[in-house]
Amino acid sequence: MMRFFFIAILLLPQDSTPRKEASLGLETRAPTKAEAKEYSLPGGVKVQGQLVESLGAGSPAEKAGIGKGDVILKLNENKIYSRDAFEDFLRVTKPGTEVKILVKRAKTYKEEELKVTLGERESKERRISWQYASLEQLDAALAQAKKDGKKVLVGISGAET
Amino acid sequence: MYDEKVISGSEAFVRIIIRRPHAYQVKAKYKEAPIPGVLVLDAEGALQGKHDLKGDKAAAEVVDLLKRLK
Repeated sequence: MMRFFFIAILLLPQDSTPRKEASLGLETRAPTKAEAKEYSLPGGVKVQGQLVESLGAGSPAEKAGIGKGDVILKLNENKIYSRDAFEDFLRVTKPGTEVKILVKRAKTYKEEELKVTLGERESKERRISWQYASLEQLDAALAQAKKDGKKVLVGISGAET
Repeated sequence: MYDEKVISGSEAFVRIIIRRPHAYQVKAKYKEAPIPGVLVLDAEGALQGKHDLKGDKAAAEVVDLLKRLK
């Protein structure tokens, strides 16, 4: 039971103070097994990618040329394996940042790299302030630690997402 | 449910969250890495401490770990 609570400590909202978070203005979900096969998505037990279900009109994602049915494979160097990984990236990246997005296009299934400037949204959930997300950013976290004379705290989530 | 001492203790560190499947690569590099859990690394990437979040005293133990290793 305590283990569950502690995972909550690490991952769940900490208070309700509103704050600005980066946003792409789209909704995604995990691809189904059939879609993973159709798009030839990489991955083993966990399939890489988040399928775009909907986009807001005039959203950063729409402006960048992302379409419904595209599959987002990477945000910068971060390979995306889950909705949580997708949200983690946005949580640790400032609004207004230009980001490279690798997508696999609907229908043509071709990979294409796009650039998007992140918008912002107000979040009522202030989560624990992770500064980096995913293994691809570990080197950056270590470099920051060296610069700041700090050590690195790594939260390892085992949650199925 | 959250422990303010854990949150405030974590602020002394550079903080990174790693999820599955990448968590398994962390474990491949740091054999003792618990999933789920927390690791403390020095700036060179050497393992300094860990906790598997198990037990009734997990929060207090992690607070102690963070104090000891910051």
